[in-house]
Amino acid sequence: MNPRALAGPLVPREAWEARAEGVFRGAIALAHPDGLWVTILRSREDMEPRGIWPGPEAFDALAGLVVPGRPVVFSGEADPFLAAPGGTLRTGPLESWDPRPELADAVAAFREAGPSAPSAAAELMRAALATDGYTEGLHGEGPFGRRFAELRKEPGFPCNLAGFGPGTTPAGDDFLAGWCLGGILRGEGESVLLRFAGIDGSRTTVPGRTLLAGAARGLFPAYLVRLASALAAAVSGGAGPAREGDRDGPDARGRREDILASAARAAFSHGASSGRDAMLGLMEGVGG
Amino acid sequence: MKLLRVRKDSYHDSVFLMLATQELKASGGVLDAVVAMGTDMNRELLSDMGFSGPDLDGAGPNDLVVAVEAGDAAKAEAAAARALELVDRKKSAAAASGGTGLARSGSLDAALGRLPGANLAVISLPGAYAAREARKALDRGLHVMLFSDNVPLEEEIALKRHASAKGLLVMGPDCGTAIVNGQPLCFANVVRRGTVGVAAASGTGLQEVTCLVDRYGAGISQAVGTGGRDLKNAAVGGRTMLLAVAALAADPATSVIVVISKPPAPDTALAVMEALSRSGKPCVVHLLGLKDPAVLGKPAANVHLASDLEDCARRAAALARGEPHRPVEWDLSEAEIERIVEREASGFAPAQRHLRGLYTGGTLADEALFLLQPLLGPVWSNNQTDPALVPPDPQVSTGHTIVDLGDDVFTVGRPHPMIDPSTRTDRLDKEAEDPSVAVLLLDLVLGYGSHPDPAGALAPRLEAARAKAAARGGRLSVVASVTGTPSDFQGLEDQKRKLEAAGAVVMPSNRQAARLAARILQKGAAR
Repeated sequence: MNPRALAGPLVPREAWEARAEGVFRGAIALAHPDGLWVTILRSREDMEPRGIWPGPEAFDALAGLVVPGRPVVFSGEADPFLAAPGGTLRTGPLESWDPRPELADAVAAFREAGPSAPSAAAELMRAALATDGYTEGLHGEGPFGRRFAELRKEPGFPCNLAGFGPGTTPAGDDFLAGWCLGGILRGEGESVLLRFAGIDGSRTTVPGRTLLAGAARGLFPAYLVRLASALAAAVSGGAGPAREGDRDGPDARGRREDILASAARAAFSHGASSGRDAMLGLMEGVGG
Repeated sequence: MKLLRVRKDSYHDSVFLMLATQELKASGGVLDAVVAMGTDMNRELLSDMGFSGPDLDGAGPNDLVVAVEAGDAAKAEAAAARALELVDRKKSAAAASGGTGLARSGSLDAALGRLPGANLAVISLPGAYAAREARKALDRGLHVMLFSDNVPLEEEIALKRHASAKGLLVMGPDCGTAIVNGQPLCFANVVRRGTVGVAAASGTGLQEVTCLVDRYGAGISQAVGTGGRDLKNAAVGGRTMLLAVAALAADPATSVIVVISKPPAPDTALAVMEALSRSGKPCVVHLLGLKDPAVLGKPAANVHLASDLEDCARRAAALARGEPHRPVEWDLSEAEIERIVEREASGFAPAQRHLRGLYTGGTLADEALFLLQPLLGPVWSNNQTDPALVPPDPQVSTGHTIVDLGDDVFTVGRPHPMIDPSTRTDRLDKEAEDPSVAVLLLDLVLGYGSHPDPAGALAPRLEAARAKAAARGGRLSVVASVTGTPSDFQGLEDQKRKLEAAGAVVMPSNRQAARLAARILQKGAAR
């Protein structure tokens, strides 16, 4: 048994029973009766607001017990265990995982960076995406890419992207989450979240709705918060070419660039294109 | 032609949906394709692209939509079916692995944590990633069975050097079969345990020999696959084969050593022969298609050269049982063979002059090719060593043709034909349309990893092919062999019976099947 398990702030803490929708790479998706997914995750790095991280060993054991289409029972946080058709897994005591303090620090660092931070951050995101060279879905010139260009011109953009695009979590939802995060980072969280409140969750898939429900409360997956932190550090500490007046030397700047590059790589490998789509949204959201 | 398929309440890993989309777009004749969930936005996009119908109207956000535009209806149908098959297979694999109580580990270290006594890792990953994982396994003191293909040659050499230094085996890359301490790994058969140790650079060659050794009353101590390049490529230098021979020589449970390979690089051949000689144990060597036995030097007294896979198994079994080797031409009497030949060769239409071999086992295809060429003249094959006899289009047969359907050209984006019989049944349908075909030659490979009922999948198409030939006023003769043992889960006798019920003559080995096919054809031509 893992000594502890983490649970995101939106995971229902009382007992529940949910249908297993699938055992995916590194995730077990459970359809909670409240209409959103709860996801059991293998890697702590993949934590999300509706996620439970029981530790990799416990995840592996649970993956062998769950049957897609059959129920999984969560006993509640007082004495937590997960019961599946193949057997029962007792997790460690649930601890709360909350990304908001880290995000608040990033917002503060971003604010400190001054008025050039949004454009610098957008440029860093653009450069990171260019290193990846992904040209499918929203990023390409196929049916989704062409429609994305049309949707961009509509007045409802980007909220009109809900449920649009390839993927179990449609690419448009990932873009929206990134865009929302970008807006929060640049200090416009209130107005961004207000716009988010108008999105009709029924337009998208359950995992898409789950992502958007978190974003609407300022809660994002761990990999995106890590990216936002790295971005804020990069712009506030003078990442990029050395300029007169940089507050610290090239070593520290190089470290921040490495951290940002590492966070971007982690995002690229998130889902099929989820990380890239979210980065595209972050780039536009933070740039304003 | 625009075609749309909807799977209700169907959630899949996004990465797999992306792969299915790529596969769909790469399918022949596909002009455009979309795989997405049926949200309002996506349905609107598809509608603007010209897709329509009640399926699309009725789709919701939780439904998977596969939309294909192709040159014609058949191509669109085939591509959509393929995409759905891919996503379904992934889902059923996930379902099958769930609820079993078996732990799944997401990393090598996690797996080792569960099973600290493990000493072998089986690695089946895309070639680009396989070497890195193999190195990790070696660094943790594990022997490696590398099922993956497309591992770069330089990676193979580096891995094998690294392994040699640690006294560990790297079986592969592209090693599909092994039997270690009685445990069949990947594609392998349930054979009795015994004292014959096998080291083979040939997957179905190893399966055929181990199954025949079992049939001839002996058993297998260990069977080690080396991967096809181990002996053939001078730079690899037979590193795994030499380690395997040394291990079998030192193994007290092994009394006879068998080596099977396609012709090795000359220096490697000498090194292996020297190692066998040094082993001091009776050894049997079969090098398929070896044109010049002089490259082997003069074999030591303990090393016996076999002429084919069956001969290899017979010699090994006899040595293990302490009996003299008795060469056997046919398991049946000559009179019975002649009766079969007479029956099968009667009724060929004048245009029926050609043999077509549709093989799922690469080594079995090679063996048939090498056996048939001296008997029938030029035989075309994607496995031909003579470039002039490699068909320009592997999908189209000409003259006498032996097709290795496990070749990469037939398996891109499809499972190996030993797993999925459709590659062969599709080809069989094509051959059935050719009025020049007189004899079909087939292999059936049973065992772990193979299709649960290959004969059952083949039988209706064989019957249809024979009916077509009869409708043209001819007769299609079908000759087959089954590589397997009575302990294989498919049931050896049951598989034979199904083939025979479909009109096939089932021979006890690939060699005898190929020889019989040639004889039927020769008899038909003489009429």
